[in-house]
Amino acid sequence: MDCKKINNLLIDFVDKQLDAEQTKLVQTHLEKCKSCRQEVEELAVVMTEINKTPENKPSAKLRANFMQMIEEEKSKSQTIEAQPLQDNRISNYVHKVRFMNPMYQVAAGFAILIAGMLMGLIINKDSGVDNTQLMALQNEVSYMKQVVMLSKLEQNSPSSRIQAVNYIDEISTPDPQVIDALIETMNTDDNANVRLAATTALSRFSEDQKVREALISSLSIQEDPMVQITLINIMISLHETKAKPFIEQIAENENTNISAKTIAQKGLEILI
Amino acid sequence: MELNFDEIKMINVKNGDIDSLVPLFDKYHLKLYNFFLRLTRNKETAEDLTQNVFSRIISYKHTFKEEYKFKTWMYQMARNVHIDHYHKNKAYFSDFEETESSPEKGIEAIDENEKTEKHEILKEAMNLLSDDEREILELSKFQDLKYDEISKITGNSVGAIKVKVHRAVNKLRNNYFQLA
Repeated sequence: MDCKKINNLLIDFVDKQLDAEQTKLVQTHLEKCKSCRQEVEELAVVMTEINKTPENKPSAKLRANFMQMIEEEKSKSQTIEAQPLQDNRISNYVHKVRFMNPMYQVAAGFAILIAGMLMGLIINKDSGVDNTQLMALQNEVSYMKQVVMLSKLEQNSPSSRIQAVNYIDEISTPDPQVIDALIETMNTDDNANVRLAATTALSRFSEDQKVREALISSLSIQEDPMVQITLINIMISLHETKAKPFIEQIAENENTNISAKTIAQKGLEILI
Repeated sequence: MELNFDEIKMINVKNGDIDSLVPLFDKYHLKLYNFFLRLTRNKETAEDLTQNVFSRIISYKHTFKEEYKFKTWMYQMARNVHIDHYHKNKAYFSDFEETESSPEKGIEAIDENEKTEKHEILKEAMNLLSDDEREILELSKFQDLKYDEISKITGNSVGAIKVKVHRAVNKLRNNYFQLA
């Protein structure tokens, strides 16, 4: 057997990365080739040293900095921060909460979308493209997306379901069926992250009376702190006083997570 | 495709659940820290770069796709972080970089130096290699990544990776036995 060919396999042989056939090939060769045997022995010494290399531990600062970064990131993306709050700052705070609300960003997105559509219509008028055709096409695309979304919500993997929920961002006027499916997902999905995504998605349609009521009553169902916090935030931004008794329940329940409890108490202070 | 622990956590992060990054940090920060420590030989730099990787993961979370493998994606970030650091510090880059050592760090350093003679030889043998050779050994042998994973991380073909690993390992072996 050609030494050179075998030589290329020696590293993986020492690392036990070869399949049975190749291993056999190398072993047979090693039995009769002294120089390759020598090489394997040397490689084994070096590899063993590499594998024995101890792991160094970073200072505690690394994890502390990381956790700080996580907290900063969370406060950036969340509407409310669990910070001690002075009474005289509440109005200021509510103001801040409103402008951090993702719904404003969504509204801005819609404004751009509508502007784009209007421009499209103006241009099309001149070029003589049939507008009804265009509208029909748009309706069809929107319908397709909703069908895909509903079927994906049935899937087993939580991430597929989250993806399905996020499809709602692309649907401007969802079908009542889609809204119902989202409400059901928010209240009954096994996975807290999926419930959270559904809750956030629904908050965009809180103008709809049915959605708003579903969000309020969901407060009494949810046990995951992230979902609770998100719901309370939604209630605060809507200034929905009907939610007060439900938030009170969360604040008084001894099983409530401490951060959720803090947010619930702040929520009660704001929702007077 | 069935998703594993890492990928589920990362999808959660992508969907706004930043807390899901904590278990990923706990799982990988030691590996990353040691990766950077061996490449830069500076504890503080290694900590900064480890932190940078996670900061990039947050910034680029929207680009993560379900079909990606988190580990491969993370090492891509790590490699880029290292390359950026290297370019930024090129002018001052030295193999003898050292941290100012507080007394606490001094004790730690002694602990780390209390290794067998063989380890010292391995370290020296590694130091004689080029940066590229050290990086490929780091990925393939210290971080135990498969050839196809390294291929995805570096953008080189599997064949090219095999050749590079082969050359680097043999060079390391020669250095080691010359020093031993």
